[in-house]
Amino acid sequence: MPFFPAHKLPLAVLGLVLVALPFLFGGKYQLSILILIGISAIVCVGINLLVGVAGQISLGHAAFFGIGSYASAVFTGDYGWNGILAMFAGILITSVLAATVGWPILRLKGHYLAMATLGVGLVIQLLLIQEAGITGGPDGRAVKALTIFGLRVKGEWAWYCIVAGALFVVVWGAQNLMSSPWGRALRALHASEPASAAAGIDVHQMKVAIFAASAGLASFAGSLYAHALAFVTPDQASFLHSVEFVVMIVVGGLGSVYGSLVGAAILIVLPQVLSSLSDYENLAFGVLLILVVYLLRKGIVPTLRLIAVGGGR
Amino acid sequence: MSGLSINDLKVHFGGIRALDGVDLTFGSSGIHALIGPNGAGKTTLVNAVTGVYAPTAGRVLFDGHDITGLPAHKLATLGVTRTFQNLQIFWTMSVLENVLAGFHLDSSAGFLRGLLRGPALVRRERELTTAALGLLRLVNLEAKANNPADALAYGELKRLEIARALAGRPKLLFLDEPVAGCTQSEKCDLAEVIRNAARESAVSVVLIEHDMRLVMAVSDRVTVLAQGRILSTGTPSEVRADPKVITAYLGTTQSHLAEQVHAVAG
Ligand SMILES: Nc1ncnc2c1ncn2[C@@H]1O[C@H](COP(=O)(O)OP(=O)(O)O)[C@@H](O)[C@H]1O
Ligand SMILES: [Mg+2]
Repeated sequence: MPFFPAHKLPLAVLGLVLVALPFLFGGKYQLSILILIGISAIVCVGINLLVGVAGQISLGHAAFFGIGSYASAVFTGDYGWNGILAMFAGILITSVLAATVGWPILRLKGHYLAMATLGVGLVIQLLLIQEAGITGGPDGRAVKALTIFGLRVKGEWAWYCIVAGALFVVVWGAQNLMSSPWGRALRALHASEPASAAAGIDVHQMKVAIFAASAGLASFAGSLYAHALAFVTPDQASFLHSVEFVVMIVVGGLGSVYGSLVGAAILIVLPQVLSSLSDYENLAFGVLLILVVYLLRKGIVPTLRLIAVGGGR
Repeated sequence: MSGLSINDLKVHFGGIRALDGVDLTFGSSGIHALIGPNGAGKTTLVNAVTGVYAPTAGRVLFDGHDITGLPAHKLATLGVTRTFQNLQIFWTMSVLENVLAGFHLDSSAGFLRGLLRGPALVRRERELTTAALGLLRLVNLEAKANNPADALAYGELKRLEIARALAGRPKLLFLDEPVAGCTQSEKCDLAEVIRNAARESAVSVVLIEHDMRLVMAVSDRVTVLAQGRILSTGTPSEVRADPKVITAYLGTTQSHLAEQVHAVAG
């Protein structure tokens, strides 16, 4: 028996990296960036299963992130619920909502599906802005601190540990799924819906399931975000934020779990690094993105893997 | 009644009557060939029975159950599956994974089970991998099990589709032109595979094929379809003696088919 199974190696490396990062970048500001990356990466892992693996586009996932944020804010702030309970309530509400709207719209394909998910996202964000009595309107609202087993989660270190732990579990689960018959069916329906159906795969049900699951994951990340920043605004549910998630997985690599992490890291770190260019920040950012997508068609992680196994391009 | 029974099946596309009142039964075993010139409605019949198209009219019964208009994945659970005339391969997967996907209904395909990936799932996957390799051996693709599917040649992809369809352990299997584009020796191998599958896995095969020599050699029954209607049905010798068949083939531009019918008949 091998001492360490080879397919577990990437997960072990991720664990080591997650442990090492806060010691390398331990400043308050740096930690807050790492927390932001981790939260975005959690969302991206889910969206990548939906978009990269199952081939179903969504331009509305930030709205599900937003629902999670507001569920945590409202249930803990106005109803006095425990933060963990509020978090799970948010996941449940978001998943059920996503399954309900997903059922009709996932019959659409390509551009039409993109438009429909965009519409869903816009409506949700609009509701978050309009229902000011609950959500605080366009200005957002403050969020109570998260307490776990009576302990208040406070400070960047604590939040880093929680987010890193959550990300690790999410990656572990996503890797398991990808190598399971369920994940195989997701890849299959992306490649050929008729052949998948002929093999007994309920294509539509699978699409709705991964849509709802990825929405639930986005909601979970939204809850973490709300508590970590102690504040939520409707911007988190915006179309721009949805697009940002999709850009992250395209840059990191469609269909690659680790690509989701790399993409999230790059899209969050790059603007910070480029901010020294002040006026030219957006220009440089755009040009770099175009270069990455142009030079590494398949995204960063899949391209590196191809090079590593000697397949060239 | 076991087997498939098609009653007055009609499929119209606007003005085109692709199927115009077809009555047909396929038994629960054996090989039943469905032949006819291009555009006769053979693929449409498969699509209408396997849930790709909703029939305009008519009824389809399988083992006594009304399966008219059931979606394809439901039919698969009942044991009805198919291959595709224009290849439908999972291009992003390996050859082995294509066949494993064919085992979907037999696998631990639940979301939570996949998420946790427990020992039962791992064990089941190992069993299915062995079974999949067996099917690949059957269609002479075992050596390419770990190749990406898009690295296979056309004839190999046709065989891969057959292996994947057999993975579902169907009771009724539609093969839509499974040997089109294959070399003569590949055709012989495939004929063997189809015959063995029909005999050993107790699957009833509906074979759509243009190669008359192959059809006459492997089929227990033959049905000739032309312009959405049944022209003739019976044993191979009955059908090839049917003057309507010979006239119909001679009447089409596909004279090579007519020649084949003549060659086999004569
Ligand atoms: N999806 C479709 N839309 C419109 N016409 C179709 C469609 N599918 C098949 N047809 C028409 O139905 C007829 C039968 O086609 P088909 O079943 O593919 O024939 P075969 O498989 O016997 O060559 C043809 O005239 C074809 O053009
Ligand atoms: Mg056809």
